[in-house]
Amino acid sequence: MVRREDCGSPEHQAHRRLFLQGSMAAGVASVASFNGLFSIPTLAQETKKRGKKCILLWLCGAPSQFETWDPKPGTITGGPFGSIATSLPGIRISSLMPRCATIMDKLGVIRSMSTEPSEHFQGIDVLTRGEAPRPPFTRPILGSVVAERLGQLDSPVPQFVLLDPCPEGNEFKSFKAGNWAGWLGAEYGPVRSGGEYAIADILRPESIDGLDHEDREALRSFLSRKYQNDQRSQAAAGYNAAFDRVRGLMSCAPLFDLETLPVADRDRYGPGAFAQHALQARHLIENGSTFVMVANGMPWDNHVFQHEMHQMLVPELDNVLFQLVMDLEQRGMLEDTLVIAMGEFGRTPWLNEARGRDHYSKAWSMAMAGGGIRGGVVVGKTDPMGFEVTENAIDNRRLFATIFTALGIDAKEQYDLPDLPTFHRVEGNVQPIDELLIG
Amino acid sequence: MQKTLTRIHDLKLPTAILGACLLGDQNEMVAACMDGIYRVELATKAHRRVAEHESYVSSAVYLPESRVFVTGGYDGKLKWFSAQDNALIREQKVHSFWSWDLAASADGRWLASVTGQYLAGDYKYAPAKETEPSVRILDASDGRVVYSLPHTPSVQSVVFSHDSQWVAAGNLMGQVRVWEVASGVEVGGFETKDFTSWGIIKSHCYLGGIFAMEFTPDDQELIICGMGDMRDPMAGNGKQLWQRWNWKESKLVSQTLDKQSGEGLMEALCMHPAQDSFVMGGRLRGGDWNGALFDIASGERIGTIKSGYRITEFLFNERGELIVVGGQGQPGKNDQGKFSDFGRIEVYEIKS
Amino acid sequence: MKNRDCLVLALCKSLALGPVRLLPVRLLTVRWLTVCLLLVVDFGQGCLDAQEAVNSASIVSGITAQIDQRIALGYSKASIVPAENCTDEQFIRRLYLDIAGRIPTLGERESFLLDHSGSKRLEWIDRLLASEDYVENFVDTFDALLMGRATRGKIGERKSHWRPYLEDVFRSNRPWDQVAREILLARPQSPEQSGAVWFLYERNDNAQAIAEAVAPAFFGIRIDCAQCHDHMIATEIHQEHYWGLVAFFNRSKNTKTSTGPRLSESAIGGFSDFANIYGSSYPNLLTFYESKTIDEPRPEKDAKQEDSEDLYVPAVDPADPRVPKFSRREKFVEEILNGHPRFAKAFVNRIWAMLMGRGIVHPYDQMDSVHPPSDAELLDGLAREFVDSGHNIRGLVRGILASRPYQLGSLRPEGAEDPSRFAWALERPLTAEQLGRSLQIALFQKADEDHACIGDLRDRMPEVLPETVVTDVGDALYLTNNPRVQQMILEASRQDALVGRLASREELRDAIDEMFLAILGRSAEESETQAVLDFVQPRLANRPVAERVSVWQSAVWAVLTSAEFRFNH
Repeated sequence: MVRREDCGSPEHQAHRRLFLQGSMAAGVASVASFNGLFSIPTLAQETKKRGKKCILLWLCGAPSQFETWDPKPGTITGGPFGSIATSLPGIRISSLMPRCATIMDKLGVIRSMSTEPSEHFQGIDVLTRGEAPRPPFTRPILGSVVAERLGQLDSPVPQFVLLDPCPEGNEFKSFKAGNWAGWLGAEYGPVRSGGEYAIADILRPESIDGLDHEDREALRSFLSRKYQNDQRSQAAAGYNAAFDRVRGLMSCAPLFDLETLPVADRDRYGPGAFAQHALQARHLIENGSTFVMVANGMPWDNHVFQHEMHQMLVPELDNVLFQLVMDLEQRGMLEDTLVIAMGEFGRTPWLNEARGRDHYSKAWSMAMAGGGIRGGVVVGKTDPMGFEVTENAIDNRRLFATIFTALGIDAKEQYDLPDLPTFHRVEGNVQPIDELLIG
Repeated sequence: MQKTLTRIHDLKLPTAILGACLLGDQNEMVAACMDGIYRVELATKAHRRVAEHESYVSSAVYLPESRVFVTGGYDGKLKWFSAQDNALIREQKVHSFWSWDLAASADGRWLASVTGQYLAGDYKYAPAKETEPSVRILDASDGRVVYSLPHTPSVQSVVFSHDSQWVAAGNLMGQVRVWEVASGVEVGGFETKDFTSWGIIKSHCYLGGIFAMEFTPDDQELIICGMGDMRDPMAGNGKQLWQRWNWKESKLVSQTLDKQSGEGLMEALCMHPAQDSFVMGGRLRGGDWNGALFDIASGERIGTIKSGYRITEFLFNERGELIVVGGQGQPGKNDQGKFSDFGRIEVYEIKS
Repeated sequence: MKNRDCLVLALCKSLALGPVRLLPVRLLTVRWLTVCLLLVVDFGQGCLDAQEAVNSASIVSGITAQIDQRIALGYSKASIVPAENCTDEQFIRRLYLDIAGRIPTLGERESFLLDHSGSKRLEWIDRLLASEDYVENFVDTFDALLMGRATRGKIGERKSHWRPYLEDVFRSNRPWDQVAREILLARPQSPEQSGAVWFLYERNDNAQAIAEAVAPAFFGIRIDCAQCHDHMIATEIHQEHYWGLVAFFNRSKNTKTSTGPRLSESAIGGFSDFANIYGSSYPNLLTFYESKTIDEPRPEKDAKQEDSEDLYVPAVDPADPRVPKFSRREKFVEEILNGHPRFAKAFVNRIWAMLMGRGIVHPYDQMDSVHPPSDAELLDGLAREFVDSGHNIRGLVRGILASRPYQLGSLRPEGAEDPSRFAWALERPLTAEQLGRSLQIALFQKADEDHACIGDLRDRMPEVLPETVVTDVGDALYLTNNPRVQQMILEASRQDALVGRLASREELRDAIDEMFLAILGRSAEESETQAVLDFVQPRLANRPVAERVSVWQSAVWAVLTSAEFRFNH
């Protein structure tokens, strides 16, 4: 890993760009900026094409472990929903998840997540980057690392895509305005799509016919290259290279158009934005993306109406995760595609007076499937009321070590930053969770 | 004329009260709680858990003629009990999802229970169509389902008219439907957009709507309550709102007067026996009250309660000089992993 | 400019001085200086005043001479043969883009080319520096550099508060040190100064945001990294400098008054300790990088300070907030800003970067030990001249424009690799405003400041003085498919606009040549003409008359989106 951050360049460039975009005033999403992975220099020899891919179902706001993977029915903390048996003998999950109950043998579930931050922004930082921030150094987000390590650089398809149709989302909104790619550099940031975040100007204007559109580009290219050559201009070379990618990107337009997906698939995933974009994530992965993160603002933060909201959110998640895992398996892709479903922490065992559950990071749950994760494993335990982890507490570092190892990325690798503190992909020399890893 | 509301009794139950009814002698009540059904003697604070559902108990109604009380629960069941000895007389599964609310007609002949799971229905999370009838009308004497009526889930409140002729049900979208009880024919209704039902800050999710209803004394109008609009449903900071609608003509008649509301979800509503005022209550998110008495004729707020916990139920005694309040306090956790009691029952005296 | 032109025209007509269209230019040249000195004085504020004209003249020699000498020395040290001088055609496009913020119209270009005066480049430099276009262009750039791009919601507020102030600064050529004082003291003494408060006011009581903006804006350094620890690379920038700079502004508070937004200042508070990442903590003294520490009595820890009217004096204007007797902002302006060794250098370096494509220190806003100047003597010398001129902004700009390196060709000579030698004119992407105005000039021969394309481009390409030139694929998509861009070209199909004119030409070769002149400011080369002919000829032949215009729309698009148009070179 030879990217040097000299407490200047990438960080400052991003800062300057954000500054210029007016983020001081209102927070323009840097992830809406659209560098994608298109301007990556082709370093083919440095890149191992592992072929592994990842879909992160980002349950932002933090879902309740009690209404998902670690139900406590019949207790005062358990809430109104019951539990059901699963395909794993002795393992029960929330009655809101009947479909996932049938594929527990394919899922790896951690019931003993135990992390530090219990506020959203800090929680999002830690659970998307793997580590608490250490200013001024910005650790790249999981998707940026995976795209950088496993991305297919010659693909016209964006390698790291964020599907999040929601323009808002309180702390997540601020987070989206921040620096995602960190010291890897802005080109490893995500392309954002979904809802109003369609990739701008990807379609040919109606007022010009297809052949004129192609030929005028050929003329443009001739004139522009002549200038580039006459001037020996690097700036023009970069400019022309950007135009060279337009055709390929326009050809990807259908990938970003929900309407092109088969109606039967769309019906199967369900009508909500999150479900539709989860289907789109599968479609993007099938067509060459390496990391797709699916979110929908921060719907899980149910300080008010916990059960009234979870009665809708959990069934949607249940179905989406089920469909995704089954689809990937049917297509022979599950082995190489890691699916992660988690939020930034869990919810309190106790209910507040506003019918809600508040933030709780001491004991919570998450789930994974495929891509090197062993199915049918439930890691860790919590006490009968769900207050504390009683067995095998897992923090963010061990989780990220497991994720990286599953994807074939060296979790202990050092970032080479001369004269600066040494950073590792995962700090603290922690071990991945062996029981969750295949072979 | 302004009234003073003074607390004269208070007691705690282990878990939150979701609904309640007073029994014949007005000193005894049945409380529907998260962890079961409680019989409570108000004056002495004596209480005991007498039965349970498989999930939260959401409501309790009393049928004085037959001296029977009926409870509804999040297990989708209704249960009939003898008020004499709390013996279970009948239990019946009426919904596959929760019974959100249960009402009994004044003549004691009918019960109405409402249900519905809110599930994503489109890209922006408008609710999906119902998968089972959202409203069930039952014969109170034998539990026979008389009518199964359609609505859009989730249907969160139901009420009969004073003359037992009409039944109204309201949902999270602010839609109210009214049927003739005798025929099951839909005879009116309206839709209000003024109650918070969806927010775009954190999500495109619908929730909110109408949480309680009462017919006006002449049965020509409905008073409904919930929370006014807000941009962030998670903040819970919409206006404490009631509205009064002519349900036959779908016309808004009046609503919470300017500067008479704070912020918070209103989920309890009860008509005074004298039929000249009603009480509304819920959560205090901003302002200085979370329960208030309103004059029916003028809509003026004529007395307030600041309870210090969320109010989920209001009942008047027969003579109308007492208000019984049920609610939920903030449960804290102690070191042993046990909770302090967080169900609240209080009695207020109304004085001029 | 109109007023002044009128006055000047009247003046010169009466003296019967040469051809009318060159008068304003000649007026400012040394040849006519004496005449002007005698006559202009009476015309008051609207004209360049006499003192300024004198300054201008003397600085040109000083600054330009220094540049030419130092840069030439650099060539010989590095054994580089610099590029040839640029042609007049190249010069006039470059000058218009840099000063007027747009390409020249066909008429302006031709006037310049037909001007046979031996000193016409200098004359046109002065002409443009006196124009309202210069004011707009510099306001655009300084607005972006000092404030960051405004969100759409904030554009209106800036328009009514901040931009009029900046316009006044550049129109009346206010000395830069005075501008910095007005902005940072933020106690306007006259209506013209009123908008100066906006620099602090828009940052909405966020003293850290203020500090992080003040350091690059006035001192050419970035201190953001020093928030949590001493700067790890530029080790001379300390954490105490960061928190010291914050402290100078942490008693200020936005206040609305009857005369507009103001910043009140408290006489107490704002004491705290900052902790570094190693766990030690220090008091936030009033101090700054390469400067001193201002004495200020510090209350004991946890001691409560009492605020009282005795600690203040009333403002001159009773509508303004009272002024603390010990004012941290005032201390900063008087004792830190005033005469700070970085102040003039930072400004000179930034103007240099704007006009030359990169700073003498690059990047222009990181003038720290990690980024040494490519020629320290040059930077020092220019800063000295700038200070001696009374921080004369226009004089500095003029001095650089008149220099030989500015006027070099843009073809990198063989053997020259290092851009910091300035041996050829560096390519720079047009800013959003320059691009938006130039598109309009090319298509319609006039530019509307409020054209929607300018707002679009600001969102799309917010960068000003980028450290490296990177073209985002989104930019290419925008230029290729955006409906607004397409619409502008469609609109140019009317008779008097570019596409319309081309379509009505009899001779295809004439049309092609006009297209190149209007867009690129030069004639088409034969290979280019041939390429365009190959595109247009078969299409024109195969299409009904009514659709022929679409052929020229496509051809115009191809030239407009070529790299040559996108860059200033």
